[in-house]
Amino acid sequence: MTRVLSIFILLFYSCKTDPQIAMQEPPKETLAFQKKVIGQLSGEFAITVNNGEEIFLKGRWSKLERNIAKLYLTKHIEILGLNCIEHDYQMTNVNPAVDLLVEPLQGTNLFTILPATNPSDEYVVLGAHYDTGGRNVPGAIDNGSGIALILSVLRRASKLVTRNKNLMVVFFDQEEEDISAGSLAFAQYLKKNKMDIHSVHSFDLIGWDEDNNKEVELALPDEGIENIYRKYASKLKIPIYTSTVKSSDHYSFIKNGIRAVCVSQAFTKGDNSGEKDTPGDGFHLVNFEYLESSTNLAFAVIKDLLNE
Amino acid sequence: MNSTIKINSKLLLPITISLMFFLRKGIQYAGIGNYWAICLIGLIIYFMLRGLNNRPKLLKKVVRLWSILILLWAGLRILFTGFHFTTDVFDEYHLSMQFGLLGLALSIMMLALGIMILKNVHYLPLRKKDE
Repeated sequence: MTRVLSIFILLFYSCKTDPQIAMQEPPKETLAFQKKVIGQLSGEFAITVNNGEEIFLKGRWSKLERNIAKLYLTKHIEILGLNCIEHDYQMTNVNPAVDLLVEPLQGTNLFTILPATNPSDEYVVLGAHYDTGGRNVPGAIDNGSGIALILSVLRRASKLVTRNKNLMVVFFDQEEEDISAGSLAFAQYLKKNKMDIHSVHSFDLIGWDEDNNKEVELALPDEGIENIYRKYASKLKIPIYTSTVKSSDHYSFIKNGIRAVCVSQAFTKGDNSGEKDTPGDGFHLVNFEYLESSTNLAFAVIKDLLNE
Repeated sequence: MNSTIKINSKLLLPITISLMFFLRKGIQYAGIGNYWAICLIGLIIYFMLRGLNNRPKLLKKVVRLWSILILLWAGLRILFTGFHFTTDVFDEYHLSMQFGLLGLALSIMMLALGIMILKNVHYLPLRKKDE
């Protein structure tokens, strides 16, 4: 009944202006914070809007659902005292024949910048896509896990006394469309604005670890990126390996000449839930200890890069 | 002497609406780096304008071609919509919306325009104005 009510609330708000997300101060502890974020994004917990009404997100597939997710993420950014910027884009479809038949892809990336504490024009970019791969797909692991991870790293980085580079955190739209439209558009945006990007670290599917070995996969890292991840993975006793996976947001940047890597669970070794892009990709599947371990690795790497 | 061919009102409206629709699409795609649509529509408009300048055979051919292109466009979209409704083949939101109910309404409207143009193309004159 509550979920039916959520649909009506969502439809009601689709006819009005954007709903205001009401958010209390999030939990300070990483595990509790990540549980809350993934829980709210995957419909396990409610998102509170105006006047105490509650929405349960069934997924982040439709424009309306992605709008709610966008507003939710914006609120998290604003709580940290940062500005959240919307990057609206249009992209061509997978080929010109499809373009003749249908409208262009349209979406919105969200990003924020945690400025360096010393003057710098260089950026380290963290990214995760916020859409899901089908109707009624909660997307807890794909990609609530990536979102929770980069938000956690942002929270920790905001407390660093010294940052010699700017940290840009981006939530990509439409990764689940054929051409990873959001990240492709953002890569072009970075190039067009001639931004000095040190590297892009994209996190996708980072919440499943059936064999509990904490193993992490790096897709298409260059030597420098691989070395820094290995350095900290060794300290944290996290097994790590590399792959040539191209089917995520990182490849959009590599294609545009920007150093990038995708960090994920041991996807190509078969350590997957089997529920990707299905209604079964729910909160209950997420291995939060693994996610926290991966978050610690990510933060160690990013902290090092920000201090270089 | 004015040698411009006048188009019957039964043709003028559907041709204008269809050209405007695809011109908008062409401009939109040109703005994001795909020039196929604008080139195609540009060619159609160019030859229509040439045909209007007292070249009735050319005008008739272009208008007939244009109606067939619209019918092909609408027909393909209706076919894909049928696939989508029966097999839910398009997982992605973008294509799912393009071949959903609103997309179907647009396709049917363009189909109707294409039929109107093809049906009324005989209203165009067969000879040049001074013959």
